[in-house]
Amino acid sequence: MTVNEQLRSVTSSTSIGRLARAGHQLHLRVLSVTGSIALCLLCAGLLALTPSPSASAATPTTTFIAASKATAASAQQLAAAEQKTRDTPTNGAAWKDLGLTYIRRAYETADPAFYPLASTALDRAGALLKNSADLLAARASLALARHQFGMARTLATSALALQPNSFAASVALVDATVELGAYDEAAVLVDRLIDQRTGVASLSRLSYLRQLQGDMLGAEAVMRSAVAASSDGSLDRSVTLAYLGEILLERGKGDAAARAFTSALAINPGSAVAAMGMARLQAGASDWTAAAATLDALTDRVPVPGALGQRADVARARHDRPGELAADQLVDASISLFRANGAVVDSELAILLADRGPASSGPALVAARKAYADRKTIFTEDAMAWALFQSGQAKSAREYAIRAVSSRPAVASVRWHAAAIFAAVGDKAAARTELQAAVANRWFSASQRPGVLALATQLGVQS
Amino acid sequence: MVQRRKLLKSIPAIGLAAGMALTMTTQAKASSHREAPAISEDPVADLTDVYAFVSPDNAAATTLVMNVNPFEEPAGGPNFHRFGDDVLYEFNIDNNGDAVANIKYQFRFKTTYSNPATFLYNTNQVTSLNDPDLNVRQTYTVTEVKEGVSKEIGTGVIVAPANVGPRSMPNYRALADAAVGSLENSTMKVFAGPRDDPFFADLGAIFDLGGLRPLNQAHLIPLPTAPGRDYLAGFNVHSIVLQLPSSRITNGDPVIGMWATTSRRVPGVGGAADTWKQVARLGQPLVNEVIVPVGAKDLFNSSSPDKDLQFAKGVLEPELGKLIPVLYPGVKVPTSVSTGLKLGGREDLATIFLTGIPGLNQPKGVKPSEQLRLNTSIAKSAFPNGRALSDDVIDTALQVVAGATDFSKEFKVFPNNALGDGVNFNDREFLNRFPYVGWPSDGYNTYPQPGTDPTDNKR
Repeated sequence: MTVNEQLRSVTSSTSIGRLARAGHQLHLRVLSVTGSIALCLLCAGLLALTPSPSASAATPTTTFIAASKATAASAQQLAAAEQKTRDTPTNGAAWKDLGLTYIRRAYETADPAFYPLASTALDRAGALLKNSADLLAARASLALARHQFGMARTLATSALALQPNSFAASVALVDATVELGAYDEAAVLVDRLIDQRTGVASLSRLSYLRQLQGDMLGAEAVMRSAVAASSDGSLDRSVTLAYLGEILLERGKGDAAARAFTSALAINPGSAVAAMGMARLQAGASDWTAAAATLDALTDRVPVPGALGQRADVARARHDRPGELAADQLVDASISLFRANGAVVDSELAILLADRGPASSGPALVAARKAYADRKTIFTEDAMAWALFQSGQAKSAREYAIRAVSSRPAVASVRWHAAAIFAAVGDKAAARTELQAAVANRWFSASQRPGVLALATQLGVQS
Repeated sequence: MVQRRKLLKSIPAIGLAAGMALTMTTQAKASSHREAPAISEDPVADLTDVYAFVSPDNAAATTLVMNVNPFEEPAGGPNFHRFGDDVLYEFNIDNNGDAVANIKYQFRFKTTYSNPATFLYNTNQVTSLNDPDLNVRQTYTVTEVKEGVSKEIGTGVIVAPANVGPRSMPNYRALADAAVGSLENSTMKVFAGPRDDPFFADLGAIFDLGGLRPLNQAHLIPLPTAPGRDYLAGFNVHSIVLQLPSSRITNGDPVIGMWATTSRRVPGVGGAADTWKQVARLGQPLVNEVIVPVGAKDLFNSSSPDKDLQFAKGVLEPELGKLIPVLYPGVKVPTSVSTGLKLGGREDLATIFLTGIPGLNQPKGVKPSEQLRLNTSIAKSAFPNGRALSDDVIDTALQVVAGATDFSKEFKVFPNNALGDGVNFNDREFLNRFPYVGWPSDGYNTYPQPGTDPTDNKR
């Protein structure tokens, strides 16, 4: 295939049509579930941005997610949980279970419209039950899902005050503490969680914390233990395999990562993390058609901002301007949808906008400042650094980059951002250190890769 | 949702709190950032039952059994069920009553593949354990730890394969028998592999507000009387069975206490040494279920017997004891039975569960702790002196909690001494020789449907 043919295939109507379908999905969700006027305005915008001929052919799909055995079971559980609240409407525990089931479905389908449903169900439960530890832990889970981490921490702490042994509340507290950037405190809490119950839940969190602290070997070993602690063929197995794949990417082990992602997808074809990982590997091997197809298939079902952003990244790497714009617009729509359903997504949005380049750096900076005002974490510091850098303020960016990499997190994108910023302000030694940490992961961003390689050449870093 | 089947475990939850946690509550995030499971099952490390008995065909030998992997479906393809390679399985034996293990037997498993390119468990008929057509194979090591000193007494012992079906394994019994290992100059036998779950219980009724079908009319919410149904019928488990001379594990006193544990590996920082964290503990078939409050399950599972006094209140004032008179109006249950322990409350239960019964299975100078206690000098073991495979522990549990024992003879009357789920024996036969646990159901012929076929166990 010639380069031109490749380009054509990437920009073909099929590919745009698939994106259009993802837009259609978003549109349907807005209409069918929330129905607010503001959101319908958003839908009109969405329809306008999807003029491809195949858009009309993309009839509404009835199933949002792949019908894997595991996820089908979960859809059944939702139906059962809803039925139970109809049968026994004064049963508070049934409402609480329904709320938790909505939260899980939101995760599995990436459909934030489940959040308000979950909230309502938990409110019903709250009116019927005393403020039980279980209910508070469920509310903490919902807050986490919406990235309301401060609230999640408060709720989890209250739950633990009522029931110090509540595992669900302990888990929620660990997550909130990590996401609020209190990593030392989180390390103590996660050790306690391991003592409480050594299993998938505690091990996968320990692995993440080790990754953020720069212990890549430890992170991999612990995630392998988490995989082993999950049941054969379960969604947990799929989730942990996908994370193992991500860690392997950070370690530069592409083949092993591919095996992990493949196994994860065999269990749950709708695994966003695994599909995005596969697409990274495909883009890294310059198989642009496959990368685009993988992401299109994923966003058809689960139009999460991250996957749509990665789709834009692939288009950007191919200098496919229309494809990039179409994906970017879907990112914006998806972000709006999450926001409209009560989720806080500024940190993610800041990076996605900053990745688009200087032209989007204004809004990127606005989002980054909001995220940073909310919490000081590796990722909000990184968002500030990257947004400032893209808006031409490398000197201001430097302070944030120093903080973002202070624990040497094994996250290539963060290290690359710091490298670029340190190089721009003339701190070659620091830039070299960061770049050395970033080059092993050749897959974190297809469109950033040429920049990484150019800087590596300039600084004499082996890539 | 598969109900974990630790017996009676959920009665307080159903009666009082109602509703169980989701099997997998996914802690979700709005974007693709980071989500991880919160509550999930770990079946290969989940101890279902533990048994200890004087071997029916050899009075000088004690047999220990631990089972894991609840509700193991015989048709488990394509992967079929296995032991966890990342799990440490242990029998712990306290032979001087101080609530600390003096001897441990440890089992570590390793999975190998003849042909990693195929997803199939076996690629043709399997006629021997070394048959190359058996693609997935597990082996294990057995380590004896005596007063802290480890000695490997078995390596490369083969796990019995899954009973796939008559095409794959035309002579399964020969395969399983060939997996019996001989250790220490043939003084010890060991077996690991799938077997029929020897446990039997009417879980369907019990989890429905403590129902007992034969006593349905006496329940707070009456239903027509019906025979019990064995909800474990047709399911397998993964068993580890160890037989050894009783003299090897006793220390003067013929009474031993034992419990099983499973632990998971936690890798150290930066690839440093691993640590093992205990995730499950099981001795007597009652305490973890009836005595330990739901909120303290994690604590119990990660605890050691020498700290069991923290659970004493649950024994002396058992939740189930309070529940029975509510669910079965008219049934009176004692709130206080003295056996001279000077603790108050249900000292009879403390004696049965925590110290062993004087003259039967109480070690000299016992420190109260929850263990399955066995007097190895009594030829026929029966719960609570050890636990034999055929023991009807559900009925025993209910009657013991209802006070129908010699400790409180005034409660050893009808209906207390007739409480039971109506499932009185296993759906499959036990073997009269090692490893005693019944043959596992095969994947081709077995379709376990809990409770839909109540042809067995009607008495």
